[in-house]
Amino acid sequence: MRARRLTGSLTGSLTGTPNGTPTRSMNGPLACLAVVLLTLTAAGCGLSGGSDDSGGATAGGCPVDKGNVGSGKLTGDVKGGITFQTTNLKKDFGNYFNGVIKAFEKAHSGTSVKWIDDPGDSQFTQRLVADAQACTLPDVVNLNVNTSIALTRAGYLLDLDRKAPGSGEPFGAAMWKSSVFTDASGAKVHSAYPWYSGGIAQTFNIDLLKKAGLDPAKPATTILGMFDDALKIAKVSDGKYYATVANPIWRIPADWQQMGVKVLSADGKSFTFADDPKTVAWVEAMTKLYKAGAMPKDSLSSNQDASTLYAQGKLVYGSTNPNYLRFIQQNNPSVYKKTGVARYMLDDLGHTVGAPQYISVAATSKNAPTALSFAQFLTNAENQLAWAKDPNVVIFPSTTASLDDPFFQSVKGTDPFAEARRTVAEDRKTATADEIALSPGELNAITAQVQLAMQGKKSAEDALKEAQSKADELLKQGS
Amino acid sequence: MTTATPPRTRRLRPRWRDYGRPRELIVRYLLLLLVLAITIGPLLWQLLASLKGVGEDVFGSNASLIPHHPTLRAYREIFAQVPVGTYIRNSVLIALLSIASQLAFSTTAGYMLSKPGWKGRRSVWVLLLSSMMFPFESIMVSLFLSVRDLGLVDHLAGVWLPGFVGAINVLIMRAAFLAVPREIEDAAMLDGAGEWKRFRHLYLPSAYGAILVVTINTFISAWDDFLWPLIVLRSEEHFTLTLGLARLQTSSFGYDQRMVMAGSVISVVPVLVLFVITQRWFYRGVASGGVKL
Amino acid sequence: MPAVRAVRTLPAAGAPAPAPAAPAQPSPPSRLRRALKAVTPGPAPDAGGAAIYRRWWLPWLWMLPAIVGAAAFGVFPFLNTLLLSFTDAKPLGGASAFVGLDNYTRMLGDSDFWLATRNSVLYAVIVVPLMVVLPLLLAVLVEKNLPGIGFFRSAFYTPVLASSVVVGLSWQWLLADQGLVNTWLRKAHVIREAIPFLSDSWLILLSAMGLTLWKGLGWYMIFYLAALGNVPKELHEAASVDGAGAVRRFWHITVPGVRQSMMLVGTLTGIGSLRVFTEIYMLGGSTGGPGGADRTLPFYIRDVGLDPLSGNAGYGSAVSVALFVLTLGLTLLAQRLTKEDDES
Repeated sequence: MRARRLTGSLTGSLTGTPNGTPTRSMNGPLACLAVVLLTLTAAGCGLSGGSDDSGGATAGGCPVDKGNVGSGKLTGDVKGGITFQTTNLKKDFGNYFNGVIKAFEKAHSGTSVKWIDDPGDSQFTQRLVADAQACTLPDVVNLNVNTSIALTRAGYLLDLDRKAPGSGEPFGAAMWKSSVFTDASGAKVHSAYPWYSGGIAQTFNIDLLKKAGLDPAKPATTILGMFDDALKIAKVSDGKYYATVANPIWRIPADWQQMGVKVLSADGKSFTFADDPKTVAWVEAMTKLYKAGAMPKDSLSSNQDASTLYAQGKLVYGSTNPNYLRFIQQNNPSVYKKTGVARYMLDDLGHTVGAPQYISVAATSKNAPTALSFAQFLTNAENQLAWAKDPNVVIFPSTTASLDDPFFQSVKGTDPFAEARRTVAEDRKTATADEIALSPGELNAITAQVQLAMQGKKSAEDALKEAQSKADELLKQGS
Repeated sequence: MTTATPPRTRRLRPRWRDYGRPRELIVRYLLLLLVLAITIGPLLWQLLASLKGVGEDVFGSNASLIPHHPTLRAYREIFAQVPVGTYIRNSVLIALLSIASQLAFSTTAGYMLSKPGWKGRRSVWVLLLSSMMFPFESIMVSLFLSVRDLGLVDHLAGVWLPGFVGAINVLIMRAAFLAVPREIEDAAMLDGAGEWKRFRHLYLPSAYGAILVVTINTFISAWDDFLWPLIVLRSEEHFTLTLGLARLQTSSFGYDQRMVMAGSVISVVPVLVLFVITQRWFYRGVASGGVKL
Repeated sequence: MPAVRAVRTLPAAGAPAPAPAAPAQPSPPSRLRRALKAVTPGPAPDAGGAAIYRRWWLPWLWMLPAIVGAAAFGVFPFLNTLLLSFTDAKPLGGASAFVGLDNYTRMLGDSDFWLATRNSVLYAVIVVPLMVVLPLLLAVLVEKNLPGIGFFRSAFYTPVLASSVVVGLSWQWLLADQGLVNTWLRKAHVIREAIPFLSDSWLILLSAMGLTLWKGLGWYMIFYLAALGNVPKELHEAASVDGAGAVRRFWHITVPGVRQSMMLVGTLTGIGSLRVFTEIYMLGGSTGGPGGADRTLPFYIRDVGLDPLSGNAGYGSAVSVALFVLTLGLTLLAQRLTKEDDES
């Protein structure tokens, strides 16, 4: 009854014939039907729009220039304007990017690059989703691994193998080989240039490590070995400090991958982590650490990663992303001085995995030749090295030439920044980008189950099985 | 019963006992202090953190509550690193635009919705109520497509448009108009005052407080909104304050906790000032600010 | 009854309105008088309060902008959501197919959906009554113009303005195992072990409700402040003379006086508490509490629908529709129960 009145009034307001006479209510059901039919047909057209559009070329449902899709090298003049979007880099690196843009515009007269800087962090993918749907993606865009996967699958990114063959040459071989994503047809393609990376390393509070009788010069080399050390820390800490934070979200699936667990099946269609006894051992070890007080009880589901607590001097192990050293330096200088850096636990895998940031060209670009040219310019050895030399950051380039630069090969100094540069530069030579990229939904679903196990509400096996089935369901609905 | 209060004899300097019995006063102030502790206690630490110097620890066992070397460095840094002035100008523009349209349309709509005697108002009421219930996440992309079709991407107007009139404000105004005693209106009607005249000279002044509530409400939601401006705006010169200050707190390259705090102080102060100025008018309504003036 | 009306001398229709004769008793408000003086009477007004609009379109004209706004930027996009809920669309668009009621049948068998629904409903059931009453008490407390009251009002309003980053940090600082609350309780020997505000799923939910209340108190306080102005002072004075205590005056004068506002606050907080996301995210993390046990419906919509990688916009839309139906249903039910029917 109420519902009918609602639709009745809707019709009125939509068609502009509100009617004050009592007879109106009799039109209710009819009007309602009309609205439903109208909207269904309208939306029906909208929904099928992309696919039966036989004339023009499309990418991700958007009409695009023919040259941007299909086979054949991208050709065209490098001139005109493009947009270039980064993710929150303007505040810290405005000068660097303005310099790169100016140099590009100078090298290619008649071009102009409009720089957009998304103020959100990498978690904020909403704007990208909205932009993609509206066919308004920036021409050159900075993506993380998750958005690269999603946009490649939906067909929004330029296929570099076809459109710019050979352009992967300058990048580190292991890095380039592993920077592939699955397109709509299921083929593995290069749709993004690997860019900078923070690298991965162990960081720890030397003082606290010594208190537990551990030797800072001999850091753990396996994940479970580190957990053993953490247990020793819990025994002497008496709740005054902790080994690390509890939320498993920071360790999944990197720890598993490092331990040699097969997280995903070869065809990428189902998860397999629950089938490996090593994962069960890992969950049991985490549970033990949580119970023993090696981790703060209230950090089980917290959004705060290790950096905040580490900065308070309450954690032995800090974040594994050396970038955060700058955060420590700025917020708690006293802890910064006590920080040690060591090679990450290579464990069974023998090398580290960690996706870098990526630079892609949108297939919907109206000026793809210029966009492609800028993407290559931005990621070339010279420009990447120039940025990595910024004294305020610890980041690493993706090109071989820049990693071979003396800047990384002979690092001077003993402060945490220098230590990190030395350690990670060594590591980057063998590192690959084929990190298992869980979607936020999958990651949350798996994490939630491990949390239950850590609380003792479920056995490790049960939790992992449930986690796997939930993640599989998400994987299925997303593909 | 509606008698006009006789003009009070006002002393220039009121004495304490004019405010009530001492015991009642003490209880009142104790309660006020209690609520004060609950409401702003948790925020104080943040404010103090924004005043800490570079060498001082922001948190941890070494960190003290009171800054030892209070400094405005974090504030200076923010103004040096990001164009706060531009951000504030954009936020104010959007807020003013929203206030203007919200006030104009929520008062007229709320007024008519409070009136009996026309068919369909129940449906309209349900329509407006419903429009507040759609989860924003689920309509966001559609909204963006509309704004794109109107050519308003990266325009302040694109941020303003979808919220040019809010159902919530219409309902607030409706409730306020419903509270106006029917007798007054009847009298006006019999005097032959037309709809507009009654609205303008009788109802609007009576709903003084509600209008202020709508103004403040609109100002704050325009001021605080993050997700929608993020999606619509592109260029730095169009950024709003929340958008611009978000840079300070999400960088994966580390961020200065003092600056995050300072940033939030900067965004709160203008609204708080507005509130401090206007709060005395909230409680006036019919009695003093309205019809009986 | 209508004291004002009784004393009015009624002008003859068509004649210029004479200045009201000096009334013997209750004088009509002077501004009204001024207003009425300015009025040149138009066509004879409809009799009584229940005006029937001769020109049927007049009310619609007044309502037009609001209706257009609600339709174009609310209902219309939501119709799109409604349609998507019958498809298997992806957040990033592209090809999609109609799947009939599949999303809805899946929803009915989805235990996570029901858990989220339970949390959302629980949230509304607990938060709404408190949010209707506490701000009213607060408004009564700051209503009187005492010295320094402006400061208190502004301070009570501050949480409304605080950014969510700051609020999140503050509340973690309060509720952590070694946070302020636990430290004080330990010092007072009330507890020995820390109360796990941030790791027990029930306590996370309750803490989130506390956060919602804390943030909303000041906002609804000004709401009530504005409404209290409409409660005639004379009633209070008269009741005082009759010897009615503060509590009795509150129940018999204040509450009936702000009844409309209480209804509205109930409606608004009901809608608001069914849309809670941030509070849970701040206190329970991105999983929505350990094991995802504290996820609310909007939280669940984000998880299943918006994720560009593994999201299903079709299913997310179906849950959105369910949330909408639930919100509208509960609101209308509450209206029924409280018998707010101004139509009658």
